[in-house]
Amino acid sequence: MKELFLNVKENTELTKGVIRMKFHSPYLPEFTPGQFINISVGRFDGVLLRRPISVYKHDAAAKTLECVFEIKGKGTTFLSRLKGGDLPATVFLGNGFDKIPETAKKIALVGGGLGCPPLYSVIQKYKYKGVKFYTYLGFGTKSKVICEDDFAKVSEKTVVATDDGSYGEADFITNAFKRDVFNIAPDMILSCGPAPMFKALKALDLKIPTYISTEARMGCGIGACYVCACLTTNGNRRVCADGPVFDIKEVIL
Amino acid sequence: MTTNPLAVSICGVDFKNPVIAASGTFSFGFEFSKLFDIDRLGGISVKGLTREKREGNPGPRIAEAYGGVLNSVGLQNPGIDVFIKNMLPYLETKKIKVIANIAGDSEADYCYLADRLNDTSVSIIELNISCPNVKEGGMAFGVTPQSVKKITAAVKKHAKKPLMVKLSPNVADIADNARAAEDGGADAISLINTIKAMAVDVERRRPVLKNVTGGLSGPAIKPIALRMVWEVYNAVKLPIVGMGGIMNASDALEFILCGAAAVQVGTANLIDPLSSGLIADGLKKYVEKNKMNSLGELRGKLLV
Repeated sequence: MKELFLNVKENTELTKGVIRMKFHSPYLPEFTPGQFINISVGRFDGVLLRRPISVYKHDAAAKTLECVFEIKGKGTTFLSRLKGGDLPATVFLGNGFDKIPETAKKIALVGGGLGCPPLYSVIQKYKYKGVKFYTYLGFGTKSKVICEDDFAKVSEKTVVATDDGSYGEADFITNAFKRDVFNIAPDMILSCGPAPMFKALKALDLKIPTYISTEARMGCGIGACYVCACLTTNGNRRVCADGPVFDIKEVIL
Repeated sequence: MTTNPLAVSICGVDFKNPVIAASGTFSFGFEFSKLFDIDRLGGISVKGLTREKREGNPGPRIAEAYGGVLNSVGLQNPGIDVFIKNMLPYLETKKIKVIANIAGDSEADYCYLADRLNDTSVSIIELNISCPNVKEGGMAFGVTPQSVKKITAAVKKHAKKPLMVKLSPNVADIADNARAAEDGGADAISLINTIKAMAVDVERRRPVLKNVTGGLSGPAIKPIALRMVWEVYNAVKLPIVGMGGIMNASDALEFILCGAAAVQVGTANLIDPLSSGLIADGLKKYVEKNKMNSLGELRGKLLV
């Protein structure tokens, strides 16, 4: 991990209230897919804490990273307005999806809402190694669908489902995944999204190694303040330092 | 021979500078050492230690206020044995003084912890009787002057190490509690711990913290902390370690003017992980600019 300044290169709205930002720094450290950054929001309007945001795309050669986030409060509102300039940030944090074996041939990705973008960073790293990806993306409604094209270009199969049926399959994404999983027979399942989706995924009781990227309100982002707890079979673990990625068997949902 | 103008001695323990990482924000130093050389600090007050491992409170355990942060971690820590076996050896490789912050559910717990630390490399014991986030013990011991004196005296009988009592701001008169700690045999006083507070989510119509209440820290509480340090400075002879919303060297100097011998930096570590080192640098620049022989010359020199 490193403390550095990230320069804002791009800022676009993917869909209403969802922002994609591209940052540059000549000093980016090594990146593991699934890791996140903890970025200052300039102490804007009395907000002190940094915002932990997962990484969507990472380009080691161009020394850039991209993040996707939803405008929720004062911190993300501040970020969404930036068109340039530098912000202090600690990068890259957490374990990431670091349990992918060299022998993996087929990986299934199951994302929900804002949990979809960080899964793309896995494809970026492993696609050239010949791993095949099968992508399942769930959203609440059509207007919330993001990043579908990016995944579709590099996945063997990409399925989108919406809870209200306004786009793609009218179902929870875990149900759509359940219908296909035995045909695909992936070596591993990687997932990121809301807790109810993880619960549904766990309930499928697939005998396939499954890792989920969890979320919690954070303080320091580096493992020192013990604020972000994930309840596991080994007690409370730090989402920022022990996670955010945990074995689904370990997490008490 | 040149002397170090930032050096400060607190109850016989020599700190190379008065900047100490505050308990609960710096863990055991390991994480921050990945970002900067923590030997730039004078000391570290480690995460509050209990007799057994603790899981802390359910989440969310952090919330925001204007210029402040609320937490309700509830003393999650690996327990005293793991600290001594696994964390302390790491800190022994560093040139910083280690303050062991201890918390318990009973007087016996505190005494046991002091006993366990007697034959270790720890420099000072910080008696945490001011954590607002645990139901049993914690702040309960720090509310009335009588209870402060009683627990201080009890632990003092067991501790071979200097004893620093960390006062709660959630009390009737902080000066009374400081005097009680002094009467009980404390060697130093640190203040303030967090202020019991709430944050509300209007969309969900619920408290942001699962624990409902938490402890407020950060710049929002600095004026209160300064006032309390000043009151305590005027009430007792003991050395004072001041804290509460220190974000930069100027903030630290304000505490020293109000009577603090040293300061602890807490919430700032969460806002900018390099803060504590930068504050130590800033103090050095200040003494150089003002051609001071010792930063201690400033202690309590508030002109009122």
